[in-house]
Amino acid sequence: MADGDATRRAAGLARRLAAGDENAFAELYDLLGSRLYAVARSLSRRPADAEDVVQDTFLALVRSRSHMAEVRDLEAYIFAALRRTAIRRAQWIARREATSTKELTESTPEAPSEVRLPDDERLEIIERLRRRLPEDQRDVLALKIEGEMTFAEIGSVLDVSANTAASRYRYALEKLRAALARTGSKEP
Amino acid sequence: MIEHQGPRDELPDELRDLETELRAGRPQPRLELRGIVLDATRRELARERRVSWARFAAAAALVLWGSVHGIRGLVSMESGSHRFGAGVMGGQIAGPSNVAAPDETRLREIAEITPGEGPLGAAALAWLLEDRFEWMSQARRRAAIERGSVLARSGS
Repeated sequence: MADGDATRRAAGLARRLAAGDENAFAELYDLLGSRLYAVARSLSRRPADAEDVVQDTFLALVRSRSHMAEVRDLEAYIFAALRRTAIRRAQWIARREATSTKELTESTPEAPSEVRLPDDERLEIIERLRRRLPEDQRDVLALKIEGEMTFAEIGSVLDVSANTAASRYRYALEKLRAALARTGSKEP
Repeated sequence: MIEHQGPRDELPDELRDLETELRAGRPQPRLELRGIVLDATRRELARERRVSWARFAAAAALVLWGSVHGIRGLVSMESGSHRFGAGVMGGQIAGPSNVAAPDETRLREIAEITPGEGPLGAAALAWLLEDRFEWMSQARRRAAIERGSVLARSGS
């Protein structure tokens, strides 16, 4: 059965990660790197922050690798670590911004905007609206859309039932759709 | 395997369309990120190994010190994936050896540590094992250290 193979592969990878095998970390990146970045991006304001979150997650995995061989669901474990890292980084950024001088933030010009196609403009609106969703819904949406996880896997990451994850997902989509309609942004 | 989707099964078309649109807009990392992350990972692995060996050497020194003073106890140390154990029983070193123990056993093992004579020995051992304690709550960690001190004082 394919699921059995995947489980065995994950267990083998977890053992090699626990042993500090550098190639295992490269394999892990090839397996999950794109999805980890995409989730980190949806939980971060800037691409650079998302990259830092992915890197910090790998460093955290190195430090806690001795426990990795005992992890039952490697993917859920890693996405949970990524989420914690993203939350910590967002808090750190918020603290840093709060302590920076008001004049500086007021006088700093906006970064030059990228040249965007109409579709990109809509994506930018969606990105902004997603950040306004309640945190629990935003996280489920990120893990489902960018993380490509099942509701059962999302439940493992967030420590909720699969049905709760599915409900939050639906609420998030409904809120997002309503907010998009209010902006008058046209569907592609 | 078909996943039970729960409420998602009932998603109306307009939400499904939005879902499809979100998936299409999924960001991709730049290619360089792989090298950046793996370089940092490699450096961290090397640093961890150095620290691990330094701490192991310090733990071994503590065991020797304990054996010279006839202290009965057990020190265990992890280095990467290897867990080293060194027992000092009535002045004789029994180890080092690999000790494989699941978490619960390990918790008991830590609770039974006899780290030295009194709080100073306990503090030294707690420092040596600091990063091995990180999965324990502060309260449990304190309890384990206090238990170690009590055992040391009672000479059991």
